[in-house]
Amino acid sequence: MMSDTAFTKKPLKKAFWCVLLGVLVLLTPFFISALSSQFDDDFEFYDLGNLSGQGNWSGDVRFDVVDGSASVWEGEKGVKYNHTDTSASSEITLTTTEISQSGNRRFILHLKPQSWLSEEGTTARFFFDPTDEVRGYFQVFVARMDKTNYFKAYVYGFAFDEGGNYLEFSGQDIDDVVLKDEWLTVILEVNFDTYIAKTRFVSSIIDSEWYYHWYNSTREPLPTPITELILRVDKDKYYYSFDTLVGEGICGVGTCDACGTYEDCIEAGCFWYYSEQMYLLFGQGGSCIEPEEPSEEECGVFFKCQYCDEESCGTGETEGWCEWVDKGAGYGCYMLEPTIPPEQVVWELPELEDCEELSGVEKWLCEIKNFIAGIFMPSQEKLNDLYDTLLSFKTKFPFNYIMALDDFFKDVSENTEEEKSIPITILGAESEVNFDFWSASGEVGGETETFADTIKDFTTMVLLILFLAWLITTIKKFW
Amino acid sequence: MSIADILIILTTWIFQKIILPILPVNLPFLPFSTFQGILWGSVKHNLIWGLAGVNQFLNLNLLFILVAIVIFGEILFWTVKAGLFFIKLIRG
Repeated sequence: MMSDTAFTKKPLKKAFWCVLLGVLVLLTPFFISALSSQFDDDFEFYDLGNLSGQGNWSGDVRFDVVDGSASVWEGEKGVKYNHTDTSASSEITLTTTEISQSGNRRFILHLKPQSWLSEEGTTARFFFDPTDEVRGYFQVFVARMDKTNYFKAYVYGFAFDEGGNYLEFSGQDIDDVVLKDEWLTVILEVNFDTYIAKTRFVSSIIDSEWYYHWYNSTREPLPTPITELILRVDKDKYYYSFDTLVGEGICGVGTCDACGTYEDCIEAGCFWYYSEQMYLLFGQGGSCIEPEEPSEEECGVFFKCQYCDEESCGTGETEGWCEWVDKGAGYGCYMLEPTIPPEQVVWELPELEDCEELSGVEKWLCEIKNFIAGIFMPSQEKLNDLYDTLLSFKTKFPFNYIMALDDFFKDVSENTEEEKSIPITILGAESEVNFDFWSASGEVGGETETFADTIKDFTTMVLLILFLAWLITTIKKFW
Repeated sequence: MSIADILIILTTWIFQKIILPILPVNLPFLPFSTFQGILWGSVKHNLIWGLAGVNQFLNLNLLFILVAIVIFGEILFWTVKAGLFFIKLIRG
């Protein structure tokens, strides 16, 4: 016996799954956003102490998460490279989700050179790490200028001009980009479609031009996707602070997900995906998606004739539907003009006897016969009218219902004539039921009959007997 | 214009002006489109698949004709019976 709780559980269960499904559908854009290769690491949620092992960071233990305004660009926490031993270099790596290899992406790092214990200049840099080949020539340095409080930057790699023409292989020096104890913002934009990167430096003393570079002179695509971003300090006895590392798409085709508003999205050439549910819930009417290429129209009949070339026009599928003609604007494939078939005469009049070949009395009799027949012979026009009028009954009750039933049974009857096979699966083996035994023949009453016909005759007889029984019963009921 | 033409004109006039206008297209409880939709939808395919094997040993054409006769006969019987009942009811 079903308990009360069992009775109430089913609707609750259904409601739960409906709500869950609805929430998943609504949150789909957020999942997509979360899975995209964007990051914004301001170190605010990390514990103080070693950065390595927190978030997606791994590497040297000499990078510490610290608080205090001296090492913080924004918020409460930043990272400080703060050790004075004599190791050659220290490196820490941010492993990202695979960064998209299309569109335009921007990477921003804030760094602050603070103090040093030796006279030697040393460098802080950041670079991607797809392969050793790229690692060597695709990076940005910031280094102390000899024995001064000024720092300079190198954009290392194969240099290009603004138009993308290769200049030379050299580090491009940019002097005086930042002063000691001041923040420098390094902006690196990588275009994965045109294969060029550009870098710019912004501080209290400079807002530099763009410096164009790539990891090779022929601007080939990166050999492997970018999955790591590395911060490195080349010599110890140095203090650097880092904060707020951003990796984001720049609104444009290839990185349409970076377009925040409808206007930006459309201006960039992307498509705006409108979602009524999102608008109702969040006041945000949709999201920006990559433009969809319309599928290439294929040659075909009707309005698709225009996509056919001379060879395919009027042949194969388009035969009888399209033609290759010049209609005044040069040759093209056009849809054939539909031809209205001549009026079909369903009821044809019998022809009167030809009396021309006869002579004498026979001709007279023939003409009299034709005259009398002509009185009762309707014209073809009136006959067609009558036919059309009778045809109108087909659309009226009960004739339309009867015709539909008639067509239905005809169709069922025709289709059941075809032999259907029954697929079966036994212990994983697939096969079909064999009906060959119906065709087996034998001699019945001196005549050769198939097994199917013999059974059919028998069932026909049974049907007729049953009908006879019904008929007698019904007639008796009338009495 | 022949006599036959005149007869046809008269017949078509009666059909078009008197009979056809009063004949309905749809039954109020079962519109024709619904009726046809039922027949040509799942019913037809289920019937075809259901009877595909049966047709080997059963004369379906005969069966359908007999079923139609039985249905017609039963309707006729009950209509006559209902008519007689009403006549009795009116006569008291």
